[in-house]
Amino acid sequence: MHATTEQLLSLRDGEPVPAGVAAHVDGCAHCARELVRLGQARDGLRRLPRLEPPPSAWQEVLLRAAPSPASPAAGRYRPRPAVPAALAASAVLALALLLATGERETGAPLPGTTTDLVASTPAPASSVNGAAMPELVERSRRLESALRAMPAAPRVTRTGTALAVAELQDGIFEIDSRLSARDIGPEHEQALWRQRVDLMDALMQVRYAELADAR
Amino acid sequence: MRTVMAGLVGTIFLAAMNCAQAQETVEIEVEVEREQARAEAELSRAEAEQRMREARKKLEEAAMEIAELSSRVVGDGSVEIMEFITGPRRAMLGVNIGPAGAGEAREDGVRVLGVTPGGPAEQAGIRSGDLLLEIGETTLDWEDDSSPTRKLLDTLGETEPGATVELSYRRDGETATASVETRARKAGMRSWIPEGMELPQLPADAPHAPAFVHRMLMAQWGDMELVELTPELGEYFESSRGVLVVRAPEDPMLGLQDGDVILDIAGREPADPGHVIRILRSYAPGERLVMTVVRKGERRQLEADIPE
Repeated sequence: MHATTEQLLSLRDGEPVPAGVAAHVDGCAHCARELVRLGQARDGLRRLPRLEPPPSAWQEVLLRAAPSPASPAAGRYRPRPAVPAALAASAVLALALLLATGERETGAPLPGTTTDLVASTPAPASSVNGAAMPELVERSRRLESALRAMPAAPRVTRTGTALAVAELQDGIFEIDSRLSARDIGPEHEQALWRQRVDLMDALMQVRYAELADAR
Repeated sequence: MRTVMAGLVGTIFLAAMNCAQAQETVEIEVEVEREQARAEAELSRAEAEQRMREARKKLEEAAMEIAELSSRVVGDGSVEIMEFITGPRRAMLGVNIGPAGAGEAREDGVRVLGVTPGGPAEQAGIRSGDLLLEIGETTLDWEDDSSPTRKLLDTLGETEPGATVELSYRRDGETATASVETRARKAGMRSWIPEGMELPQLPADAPHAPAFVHRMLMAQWGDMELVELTPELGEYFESSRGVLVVRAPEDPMLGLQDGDVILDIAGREPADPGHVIRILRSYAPGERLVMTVVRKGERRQLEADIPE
């Protein structure tokens, strides 16, 4: 039985795996090749050039996040009375701080940069390794809010961007489908949530790069 | 005296001429320098744009790889693939759900923990944190020894994918309803695998077929830029409908050109650029792609084979 991708990712990132798995990978050409390939994928990500959009772009995103919960497109939801501007601004700032420093060191790149992508997604699941379920769910929720707050995509659609967005959205849809399967184990569920957060992160980077490039 | 005056005037005139010429020379030099600076700035802007384009392309490719890798990370790959192909079509809302409260503090309703970006629930206005109260005629409560979550999943299990369901939910103390058009899981894969087809023995590192097509599209047509046709653009490009190709892909396979208006792809008429992408993504390796475009007022048919 070959090592799973998750075990290979753990090996690649120097995390503990069962002794039998490590021994198998040592003696198995197929698994060794896959391990090298995963290493190359990470190295490729780390070699990505810096893509630093102007800070004002991020500010604009945050400002758009100011209006409180979006009212449903369909339905009879009645939005709450408008939140006072100062309160809204502080909520926005909180969102900014959470997103920018949530799990990053001081001086970390702004969200939405390829530098940030490297920092946050060197491989699926690694940026939030060890995070507990409530933390993952909360981070996922914050990313959802930030994505919704982004300005609409520019009128001119670049095929590569649209493909990447569609691919990531499909990936998240597939993970969400798996999460709603019956009798899913807690470990499996946590792994899926980790992946969901990573895909949401990547989606954020792609949308943000699109926004920055359109300026 | 007159001669002296004339000589003096002449000298002054010549000096003035020289001065004017010198000034003109300086002006020309300044202009040349300005032009050079402008050209350098233009070049540097073009280089920066080029670098930005390349960086963005790498970012998109990395994102594609992350999406593809994620589909293989969790679980036994072969089981996933078999389940993916042979499992039942299920109606999906595009949400993650969890119980509302636990143990003694359990409550009626189902909590939305996550909403799929671009998914049906998001489009209907559902947000993370909402408490789902009803789906169709079913109340999501603890009556009949069945959990609210189980009731929701059972109802979805009986729903035909693509059907619209009515959801009642609570947010910030307010109750609202939303109509959600469910989506089938794995529709993309099933759409091109014939019924009854036996799954071939795939090597462990073989990419899923849709991923192969998507990678091909990204590599060869990723640089294509599209825009929705407005009435004004339509008038200029002599078409009342379709999607305008602002920048054709460098890849010559299909023969698209800047300024082409895509009218249909194998009979499917794209409403906007996103629709073009969705249609292109539905192709399978080896299929023939036929596209009708308007070029300089004339209809043309472009054809290409998607590589196997």
